[in-house]
Amino acid sequence: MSNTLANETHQRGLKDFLQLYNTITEYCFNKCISKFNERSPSNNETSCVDICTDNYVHFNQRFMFNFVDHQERRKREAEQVTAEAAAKEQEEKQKQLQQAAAAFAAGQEQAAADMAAASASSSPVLADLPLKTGQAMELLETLAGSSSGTVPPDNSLQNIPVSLADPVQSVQEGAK
Amino acid sequence: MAQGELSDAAMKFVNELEMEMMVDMYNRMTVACQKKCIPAKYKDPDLTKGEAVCIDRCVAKYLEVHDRIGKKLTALSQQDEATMKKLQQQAQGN
Repeated sequence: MSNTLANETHQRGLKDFLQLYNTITEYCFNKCISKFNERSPSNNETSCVDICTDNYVHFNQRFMFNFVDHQERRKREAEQVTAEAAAKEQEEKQKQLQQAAAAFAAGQEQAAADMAAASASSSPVLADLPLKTGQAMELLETLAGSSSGTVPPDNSLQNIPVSLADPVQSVQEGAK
Repeated sequence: MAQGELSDAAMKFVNELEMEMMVDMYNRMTVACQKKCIPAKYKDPDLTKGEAVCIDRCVAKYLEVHDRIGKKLTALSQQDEATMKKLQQQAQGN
């Protein structure tokens, strides 16, 4: 398989080379040969042809190199652009996720604060406790653990069996 | 026998290619000599003696230029092959 492929490449290379040969002949003939006084070309003309051939070959090599280089550069730039676009998309997605998480956390904190405020207003004993955010959260958790999980309205807290030791008795006694 | 078949196919390809390139060279030569020898303004349908002589010499010069360039290109490509081989050998040695 690779042999035929190499063969084809070789054949194409040979064809290209012969095509180049014909192109150079035409080009240098047109440039160098102008007078037809004799059958064979003069010394000037032959030296001109030699120089022309070298020139054309160097031109062709440099030209081909520049072409390939330019193509590769364009390819690399295109790849860079797509990579940057993909990175931007990922960043935006992460931002959105972070925003959603922050909103959820803020919502939870607000609910905890509301619960703490409600419990403090209905039971004076509990209001005496230094209710900081952390303690409010603990209160919320115990309340949620003992109740069915729904957020009760203001004064009905007294009816919920609170699992804290002393405050329970004092709340119930206060309710009475 | 496989190698013989390969060289037959290769020979066939080379012959075809040579014919194609010969035809291409002929066409280019026609255009070049017409440009050099036949003036733009035609007075007669027949060729003048000067034009006929010019065409003879044009063909001769074109073919000689063709041969000369061919030799030069072969020499250049041989040089290129030699340098490539050297580079390969150096690379393998390292």
